[in-house]
Amino acid sequence: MNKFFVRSSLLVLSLLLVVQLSGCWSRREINQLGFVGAIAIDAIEDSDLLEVTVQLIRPEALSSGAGGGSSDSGSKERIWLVSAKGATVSDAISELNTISGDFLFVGQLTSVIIGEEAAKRGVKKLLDVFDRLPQLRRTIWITVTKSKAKTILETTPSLAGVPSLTIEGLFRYRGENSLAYPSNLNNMLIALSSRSTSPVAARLTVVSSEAGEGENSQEIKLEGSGVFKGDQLVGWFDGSETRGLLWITGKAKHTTLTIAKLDELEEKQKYVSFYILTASKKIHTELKDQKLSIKIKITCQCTLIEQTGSRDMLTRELKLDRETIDAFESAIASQIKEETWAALLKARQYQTDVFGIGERFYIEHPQQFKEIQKDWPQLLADADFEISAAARIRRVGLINRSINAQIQEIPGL
Amino acid sequence: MPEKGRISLGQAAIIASSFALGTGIFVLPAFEINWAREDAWLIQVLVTFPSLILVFIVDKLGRKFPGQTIIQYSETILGKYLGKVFGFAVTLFFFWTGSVILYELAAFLVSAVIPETPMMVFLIVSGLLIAYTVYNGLETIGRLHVWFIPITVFSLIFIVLLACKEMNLNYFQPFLANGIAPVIRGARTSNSYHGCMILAMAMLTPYINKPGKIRKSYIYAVIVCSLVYGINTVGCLAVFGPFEGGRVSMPTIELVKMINIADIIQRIEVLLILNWVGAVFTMSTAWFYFSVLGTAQLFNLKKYQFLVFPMILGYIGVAALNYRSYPVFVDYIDRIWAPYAAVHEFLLPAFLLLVAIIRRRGIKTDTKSQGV
Repeated sequence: MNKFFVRSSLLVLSLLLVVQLSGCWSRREINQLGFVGAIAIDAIEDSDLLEVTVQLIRPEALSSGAGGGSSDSGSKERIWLVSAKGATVSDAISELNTISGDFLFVGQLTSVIIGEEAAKRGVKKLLDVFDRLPQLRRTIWITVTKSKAKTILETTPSLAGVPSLTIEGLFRYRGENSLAYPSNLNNMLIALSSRSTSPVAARLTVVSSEAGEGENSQEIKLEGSGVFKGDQLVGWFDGSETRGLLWITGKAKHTTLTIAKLDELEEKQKYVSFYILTASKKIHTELKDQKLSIKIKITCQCTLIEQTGSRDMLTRELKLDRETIDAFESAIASQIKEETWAALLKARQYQTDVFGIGERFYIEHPQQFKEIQKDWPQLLADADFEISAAARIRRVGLINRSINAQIQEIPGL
Repeated sequence: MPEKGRISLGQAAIIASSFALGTGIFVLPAFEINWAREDAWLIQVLVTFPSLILVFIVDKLGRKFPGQTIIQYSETILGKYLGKVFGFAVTLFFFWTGSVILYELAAFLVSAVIPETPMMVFLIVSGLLIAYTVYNGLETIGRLHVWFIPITVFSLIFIVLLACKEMNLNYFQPFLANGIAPVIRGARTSNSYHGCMILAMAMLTPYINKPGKIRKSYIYAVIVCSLVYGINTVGCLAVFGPFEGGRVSMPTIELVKMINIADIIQRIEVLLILNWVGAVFTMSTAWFYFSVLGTAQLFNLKKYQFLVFPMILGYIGVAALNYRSYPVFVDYIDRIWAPYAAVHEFLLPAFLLLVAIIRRRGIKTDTKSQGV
């Protein structure tokens, strides 16, 4: 009898378990979700409120438009832009819930775009919510734009059709030109909570390009960066200045440098292009009599990818042409130095340390740093810089000599 | 004796290390980095030594009083009444801390994974599971740990390796810029987490099938624990730096979220959550087991099984009612629990050994003849 009781109660229990299989407690089906792809934050003039624009993606858009959205008009329906006002970001987003029938799902958020005015008022208070929400990760991209942030999301980029996917793609292949700062949330927050470093955020701009048949399409461009002092936006770096910044911070990946060839023998201006494989930096700081001197050394390895001049690294006799190699390498080095200087001078103008030189100084002279931490931006602005750069050409592609260096030979000579 | 089961040396070592590992993996880096900044990695080197010394003390006590746990021999050493007070203090420590761990398990799941489910659901479900496991005895707990802990340890190491791409080794410099004081302050919590192992060892010693060789396996347990914590702290510090690492509540979770290798290996936090549930569940099981066993020994009961269900209710109750929110818990762990635990883990066994030597209690042991 006892055995029967145990067995029958187990049977009832297992039948009860079947009930659970029908679904989860707080499930959300994918067709009830509005995927928040990007969030644009703008300040409203003469008010403390924020205007938050959310770009929602319908799930079909994520499957690269293979379905019905083959025409351009289809892409417009795949996204939905919606704005709301609020005192905080989450306040505005909760406002959006009153007009959105879908549940706003932020787990797929790829980028946050902050308008110039909002960034000037300070980004710390804008970033807190992104740091806090458990659905988000610290790899989302924080970007700034010179215009209203909303205008970035209003574009319909040709290739992906969805601004947030385009921005994600732009950042993914940012390493190919190193013209934008990798300003993910983690990097931003590390800079914001550090001793002396100010954050940098990548800059997005809208450019128009010809889409054929006289139509212009609005494209998103990722180049340059917004420079902060503390958490407030103070100025802008253009592409090459940003690359200078990346050289100093050691974050530069690959890039193509094109140099006007410095050869007085050639009558026409000739160009050489190099592709940077790796770059590294060394920073050394010293403080003497309240005068800071900073030595920055940048070394890089590169590939010769294109040249239009008549001199190459090998002569016709397959002899190494040291002079040319030295000219090439020093040309790259001086280009790097130039970009680095441009970034340093611009930052000096804004009196901000976006390079992390303060952190380096702290590593080298921790006790001294504690005394001068308050005056650091001033000290850095008055500092003496000594920048040296060295480049090595490691690869030349699959030819020994360029076709431009080839002279037609007289047979038998 | 209430427990009839016997476990192997390896199982004992794994239970002991799990006694500290589970939640420590997730919450400790934040405490360490918050206080010690660039030198957080040093903490795990420092805290190994007190634990190693205590392994010798506990081992010595175990040899002097074979077949007895710390609850029982504290009575032999200090006499009936004072001994009972000591035993009660240790049991209460197990019970209290175990319920903290149960709270942590539920708090994490509620705040990070399934926010809409009431915390009580997790507390009751995992509480009942713990009760069932403990009801089945030490051998079951031993096997459970042998399953879960290696998975936890290896996946943690795997996660730190995957996050290598995001690391910046400059965050380890400068070395001891603010002196040793912040490091020692940061080591407080970590030290108490480590010390938990010592008490687990003192409770487990009589149930090991080869009691002669326990010291070696306990030393391994301490070192493995330090290594795992150390790898974790180094990983979190290298990715988040000296300030961010101390600001987030669970840096390990953030570390997993950062992982993105070629867009293929990404969003793998599910792995870690699985891990978390496993590790913290086994940890809480061990703590609850010792509190039940301790109670049974305190009152000289023949069986402990009938205590399980009444006590799990108290266990769940304390976990549910004691902490209003996660910040309350953080404050409690860092300021109150750490010294509270240190008293039980370090002073108490040392005091017992001292009294035992002065009062000449227990068997005279010669460490050399028994081998290490």
